[in-house]
Amino acid sequence: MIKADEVFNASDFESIRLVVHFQNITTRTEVKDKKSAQLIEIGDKWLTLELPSKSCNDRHNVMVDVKRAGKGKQKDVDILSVTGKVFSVEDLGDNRMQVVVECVQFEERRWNDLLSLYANRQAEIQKFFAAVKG
Amino acid sequence: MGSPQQTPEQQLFMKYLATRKILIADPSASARSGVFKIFQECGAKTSQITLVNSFTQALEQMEKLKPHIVIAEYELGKRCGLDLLQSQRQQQPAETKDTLFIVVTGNTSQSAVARAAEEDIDGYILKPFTVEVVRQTIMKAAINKIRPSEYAIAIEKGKKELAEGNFDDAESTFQDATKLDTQPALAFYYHGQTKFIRQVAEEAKGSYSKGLEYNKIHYKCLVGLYELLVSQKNHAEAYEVVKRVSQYFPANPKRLAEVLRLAIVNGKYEDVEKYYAIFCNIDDRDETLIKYICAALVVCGRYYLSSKFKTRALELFTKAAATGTGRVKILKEIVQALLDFEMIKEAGQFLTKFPPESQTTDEYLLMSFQVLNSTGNRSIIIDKGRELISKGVADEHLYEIMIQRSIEARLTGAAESLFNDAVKKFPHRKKEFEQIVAAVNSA
Repeated sequence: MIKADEVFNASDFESIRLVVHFQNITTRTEVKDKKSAQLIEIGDKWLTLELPSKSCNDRHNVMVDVKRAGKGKQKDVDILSVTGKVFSVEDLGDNRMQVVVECVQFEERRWNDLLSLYANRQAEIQKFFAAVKG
Repeated sequence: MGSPQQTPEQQLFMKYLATRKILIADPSASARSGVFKIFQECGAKTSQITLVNSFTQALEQMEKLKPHIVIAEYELGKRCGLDLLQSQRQQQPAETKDTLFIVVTGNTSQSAVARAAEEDIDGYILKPFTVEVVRQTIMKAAINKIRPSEYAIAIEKGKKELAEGNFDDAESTFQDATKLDTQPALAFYYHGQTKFIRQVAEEAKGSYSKGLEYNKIHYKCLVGLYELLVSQKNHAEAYEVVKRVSQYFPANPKRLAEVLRLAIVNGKYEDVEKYYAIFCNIDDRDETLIKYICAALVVCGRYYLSSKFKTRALELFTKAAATGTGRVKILKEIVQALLDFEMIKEAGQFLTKFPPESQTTDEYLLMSFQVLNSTGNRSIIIDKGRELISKGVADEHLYEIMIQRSIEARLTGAAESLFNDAVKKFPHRKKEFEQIVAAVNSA
């Protein structure tokens, strides 16, 4: 028998909102508006970001801080800090660009924490879906 | 993909994708391009993939292309990606059955996940994603469509029989289906539906309950049971069921409105505050839901006033006024409740929350007159009352106050004229007007 408590726990579904802080070390500039930097894809030691145009260029050295947005007045929580090199850039139009960052320096444990955060949530959601649909 | 080590499932998936039309709807160009590349790698033809960045474009393309696979962001501009599915279900019900609908989103909130689950979509992928998660989720959903289980085939067969009105066959197909899976809640749901359509309510109830024994959060069984109980006007049990539904699926405004209605009908006033907390966490609150929650808070407030829990009542009224900002009807109900329980000072405080444009309406003027009656000087009250009556405002309370105040001020002629006027306008209240005259005179 499927018990509700096994597949449903409100805290499992608490919203995760990531805040990305992007700094271009080469040009000494940064993306100041937190909402305009988005983490789209996590690869094998690379990250795909969507940023405002002209944030960086190929082979620029960059720093990416990923934080979990705090609830209400709570502070954002650090998840991962990466130093890397821009591997590729692509103009997306509408003053946006896609940037693939090759991650050079970061804490392996933190990287895995980020992956687990989403993998666990994804698994919970799939379990919930399966139970709901039966 | 494409390597010699492909599993039979991967090969099947690749073959399936090669002939499918795919629509990807996401405001983020990077997300669109990321998912696009994954589909390409999995064997989809580039020419068959359409990318759009808005709800309107997605809707247009869905009508034009009739895609086999739709990948949509939950937050598609001001609209919800799930509305695409609803729209397709209405306009192209035949195509919807075979369409794969998957949400790819950064929204991990409980309300979004539950709403998507209610809509019966085929997958929910979180952003930021990994290639593997996207590939696996889409492949799994596709395989379920291409190669359904024996259980799924039986359910589909029964649904067809049910739609054609072959109730005996449908019942027996669903009954057989219950033996084809270890968690046959869906088969029990459809068995219950068949019984419900045949108006064998108790047996329908039995089937839904049996489904829920296998799976306590089976959405269809819960909703089926709830609708059955409502049709039987069994409000107490219906409330217990819908309470469970809204606990697991809190996002549906329509259902929250039903829960609130039943909570009031069943006198579960304490629960209303819990639902208010759920309401506060819902991102997309529509007008109906706001009205329902405000009304429920006011009804509860009234209940607490009658139970002498004034502070609690005021808390609820404050929440209602804040939630229904500027909604005159809600404020009017609050002020009236406070006036009815002689909490004049508090009523006056809520009067200040009325938007300026509504402060010239008869309703507002009447309520502020009632507040004035308890706090103001008698001659000012009489002057204000006369002003309202000469403006054509006709209200029983206004006349009651004016008769009483005129007698107190020894304005006998005016009191008599007001009494006659009141009886003419409100003949059913003649007795009450007479009682006021008698009471004031004896005092």
